[in-house]
Amino acid sequence: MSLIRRDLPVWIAFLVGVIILADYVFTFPGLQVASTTLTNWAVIVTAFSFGIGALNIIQRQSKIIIRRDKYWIYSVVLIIILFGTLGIGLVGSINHPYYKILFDNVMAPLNVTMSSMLAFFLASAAFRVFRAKNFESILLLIAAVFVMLQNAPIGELIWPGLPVIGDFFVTGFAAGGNRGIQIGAAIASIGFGVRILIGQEKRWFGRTE
Amino acid sequence: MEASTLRKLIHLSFIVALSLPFIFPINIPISVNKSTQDAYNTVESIPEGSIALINFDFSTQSAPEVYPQALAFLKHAIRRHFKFVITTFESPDAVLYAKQALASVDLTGYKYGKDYVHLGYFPGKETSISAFGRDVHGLVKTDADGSSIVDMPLMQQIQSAKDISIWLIGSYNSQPFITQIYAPYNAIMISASDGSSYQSLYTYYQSKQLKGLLNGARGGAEYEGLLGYAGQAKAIMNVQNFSHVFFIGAIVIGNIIYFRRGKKQ
Repeated sequence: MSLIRRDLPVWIAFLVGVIILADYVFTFPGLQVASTTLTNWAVIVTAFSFGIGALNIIQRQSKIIIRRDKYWIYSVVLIIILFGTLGIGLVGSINHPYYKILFDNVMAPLNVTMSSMLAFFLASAAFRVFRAKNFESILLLIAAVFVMLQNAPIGELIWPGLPVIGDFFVTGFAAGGNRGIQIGAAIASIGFGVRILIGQEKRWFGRTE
Repeated sequence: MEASTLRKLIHLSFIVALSLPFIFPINIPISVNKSTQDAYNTVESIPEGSIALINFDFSTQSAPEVYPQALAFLKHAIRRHFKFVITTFESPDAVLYAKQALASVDLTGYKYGKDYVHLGYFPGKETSISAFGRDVHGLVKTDADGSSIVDMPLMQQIQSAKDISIWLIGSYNSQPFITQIYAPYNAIMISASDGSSYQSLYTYYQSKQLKGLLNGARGGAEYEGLLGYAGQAKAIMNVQNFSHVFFIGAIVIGNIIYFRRGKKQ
C-alpha cells in the first residue's frame, strides 16, 4: 500500500517528465508519439477538473443551505444558476439563445460592473491616499502621473515629451524589473521541476513531509 | 467635511468626468507606438492567402480592453485575405466574443471550413497550447459548434504549429504561446495586452520573440487607426483622456490639502 501511495506517483511523475523533456532534445518518432499522447491526456485531465470544481461548489453551497448560514439565500441562487446554465449548455450548446441571453445580459454586465467599480475606489484613493509622504512615495506619484499621461492621448497634446518619459518608465524601469522577476521565476521553476523529477518534492500529490 | 460625504463627492465628480466625453467627444489624434507599428508591419509582411491563427483569450472583465485588439487582428487578417482559425485556450468566455467578432465582420468571399474555422475552447491552458502545437488533430476533433473538422479543407492543411504562418494573440497574456509555440517552432507572433501585462510582455518584444505588441486599449486604438477605422478602443481613449486627467487632478488636490493641513490627515 505504501509503495502505491508513496512511490508510484513519484515514478509516474519521473517517467512523464523525462519523456516530455527528452522530446524537446531528441527526435525519435516513438518518443514524439508518447510525448504528444501524454500532453493530450493532461488536457483531458484538466477538463475533468471543471467537473470536480462544480461538484465542490455544489457540496459546499449545499452545506450552507442546509445549515441556514448567513446569506444562505445567495447559495440557493448560485445552485439554481449553476444547474440552469449547465442544463441550457447541455441541451442546446453555447449557441442556444438562452445561453447567449444569460451571457450577454447577466454574466458580462455583472463582471464588467465589478471591475468598473475598481475605478471608483481608485478615484477615491487618488484623492485620499496617494500622499507624497516620503521620497519613495514621491517617486511613485511622479511615475504614476507620467504613465497615465503616456496612456492617454491628451498627454501628447499637453507636451509631446510626456509620453516619451512615460514610455521610459514602462519599457525601462517596469519592463527591466519584470525581466528580473521572470528570470528568477523561471530558474525557480527549473529547480522545482528537478525536485519533482527526483522525488524530493512530494507536496504536489498531497504529502507534506 | 465627513469622510463619507467626501467619498460620495469624489464618486459623483468621477461620474461627471466620465460622462463628459459622451457630451463633448474630443478626438485627439493618437501617434503610433513602435511596438504597434511593428505588429502591423509584421502582418503586412506575410503573403496573402497564408494561414493565420487568431487567439481570442480574455475574460469578461478584461474584454473591454482586449476585445477591440483581437477584433482588429481579425479585421487585418481578413484584409490580407489570410485563411484563419480561431482558438481559445484560457478563458471560455472568449468563445462567445469570438462568435460576436465573426458576426460583426464582413466575410464576403470566405467559406466556413475552407477559409476559416472557429475551433472554440480547449481546457488546459499552457498544456493545451503545447498539445495544439504538436498535433492539432490529436487535440481537436470538432469545431466550436461540435462539427467534425476532419473533412474541412482548411484543417487538412493544418497538422501542427509549423503549418501556421502567423499567430495573432488576442490575449492579455501571450507568455504561454512564447514558451510553447515560439521557442520550439520559431513562430511569427504578435500580441495584444492589457494595461498591466504590457510591461511584462515588452521583454519578449525587446528580445524579438514577439514581432509586435499592442499596449492595452491605447495599442488597440493605434492599430484601429492604422487599419483606418475608429472602433471601441478609440472610444475608450476618449474616456481615458478624461479619467486620467481626473486621477492626476485628484492626486494633486489631495496633496495640496494634505500639505496645507500640515500633514495631519
